[in-house]
Amino acid sequence: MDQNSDIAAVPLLAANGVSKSFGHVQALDSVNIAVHAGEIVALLGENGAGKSTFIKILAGVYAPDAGELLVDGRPVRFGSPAEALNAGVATVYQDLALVEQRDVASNLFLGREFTKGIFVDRRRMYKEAEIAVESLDFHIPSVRTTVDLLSGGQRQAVAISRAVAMGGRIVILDEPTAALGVRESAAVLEMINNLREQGRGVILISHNLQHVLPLADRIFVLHRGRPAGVVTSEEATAEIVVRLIMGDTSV
Amino acid sequence: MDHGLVVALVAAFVFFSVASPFFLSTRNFLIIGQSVSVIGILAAALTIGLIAGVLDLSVGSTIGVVSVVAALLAEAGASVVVVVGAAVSVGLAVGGLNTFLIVKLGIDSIIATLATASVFFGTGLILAQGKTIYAADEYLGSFVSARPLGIPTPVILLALTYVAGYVLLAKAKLGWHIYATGGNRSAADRSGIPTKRILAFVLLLSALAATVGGLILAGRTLSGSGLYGRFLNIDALTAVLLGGIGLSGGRGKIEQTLVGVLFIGILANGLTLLNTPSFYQAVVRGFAFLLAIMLDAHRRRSMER
Ligand SMILES: Nc1ncnc2c1ncn2[C@@H]1O[C@H](COP(=O)(O)OP(=O)(O)OP(=O)(O)O)[C@@H](O)[C@H]1O
Ligand SMILES: [Mg+2]
Repeated sequence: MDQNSDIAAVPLLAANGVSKSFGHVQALDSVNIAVHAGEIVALLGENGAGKSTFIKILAGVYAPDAGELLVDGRPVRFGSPAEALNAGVATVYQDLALVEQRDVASNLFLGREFTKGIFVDRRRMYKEAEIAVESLDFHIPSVRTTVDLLSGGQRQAVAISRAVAMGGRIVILDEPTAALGVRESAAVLEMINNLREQGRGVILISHNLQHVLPLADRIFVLHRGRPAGVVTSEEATAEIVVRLIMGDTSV
Repeated sequence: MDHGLVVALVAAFVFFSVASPFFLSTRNFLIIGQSVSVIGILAAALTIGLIAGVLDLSVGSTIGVVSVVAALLAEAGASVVVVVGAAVSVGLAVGGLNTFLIVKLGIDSIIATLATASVFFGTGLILAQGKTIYAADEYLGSFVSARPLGIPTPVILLALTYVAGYVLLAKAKLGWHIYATGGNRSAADRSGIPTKRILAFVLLLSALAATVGGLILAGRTLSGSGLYGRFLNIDALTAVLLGGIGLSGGRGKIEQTLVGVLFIGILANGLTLLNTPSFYQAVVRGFAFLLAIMLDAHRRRSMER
């Protein structure tokens, strides 16, 4: 069976002509993106270009003013983050959205706890959490450790693992390496690469071209809320990408 | 669990056992249990609220209003069903108003309930025209003074409250969502947890706990007054903070609060047995509260490393 061509035909997640204004600020003007299974798509742009706003629309945090979202080729409308999650779109936010006072297991299954009736099935939760954490390059001492005791990289790893644990077929990551050192960044990038290998679709936001260029299959660039260009990994050189980011239309 | 408080509890226990021959007796323990029953029930509700990230300062004056309503209706000859039904309606109205301000309008819970506390306090006074109404429903009175298996009903209610609180917070999915809401509300939202509904639930719970407290007081004193419950806010909050729940949300266990409640109860009881005049007890109460907030500040500082 030729899986690749089949999957490649229909994007897991696509957005067409999405616009969004906050009062007088037009944060997004008719932007598009598409991500297929087993693909890493980077979303680049200067500060304030609209990247976070765009992915919050994909995640169901904001409703777009115009444009449509498609999951598996079918139009969808996310009324809340929970609806996006149910459709398989899991987001690792810039602020990670972890409850620091709670332990790793509680965070991995936040809002989706395993239950027996109205009670939490603790045994199952901790067992599943062990399994989720075991495969990580980050040594997490115990799934009973509270998140506030973890390092930045460990927290990022927990947030990404949660996106997977919540069944994200499409995983969106907003600046996952921004606050990390060299070693921890490398391990997080390895995790992101694994997501692709598992056949998930990944949307990656980063300001660090050294992190993005080796990893991304395609690069979408935003400039002041408008689409500034799409380049494939073969075409992408740092110079071209930087010029697109700066709004140079001659490339 | 905060070991410091457990040590203090044991120390107070040993001290009063030696200092007073009456302290160490089943009878006295039931007296302690009874004396902390209302504070304990309020403290449990405050604990759940604080874990969810809201502090309800209106529970004390709600107790006053409920006791007045119960007394006035009893005076007018209403049946026990009407008395209890009206009290619960008052509780639901109080919880509903707090929910509207805090959840719907997004006002900070301390500010909102400080305002509503003042409104409820005044309402209690107006309804009773500033007086104490000496009337109580017969069934309510005998229910509160009943001793099934030798244990006073308020003590049984206190125990049930803590068992239910423990099951809710430690075992139920709703409890886990209460922790998440108080720990990081926007993260909880983005994980699909219905945080607004959870806060509404918690605020209604504390209003209903105050209702139960008001009915216990009305049944015990066979009267009602807007002044009842005036100091219960601070006593309950002292117990909660002594227990180490903290004001920042998302942390703590209800068992800790129970230790705080027992500590306050033993302290007050021991001082009474040693014939300490009541005006000294007010100062002791104040110092206990200061100690509690200092402990909380200390814990927070050491947590920030
Ligand atoms: N909730 C909001 N209300 C008003 N304006 C907003 C809001 N969110 C974003 N904006 C504005 O929309 C524009 C795009 O912001 P956005 O956060 O999406 O940029 P970004 O590309 O993620 O930037 P960065 O790289 O700094 O994270 C900015 O001008 C920002 O000020
Ligand atoms: Mg951003």
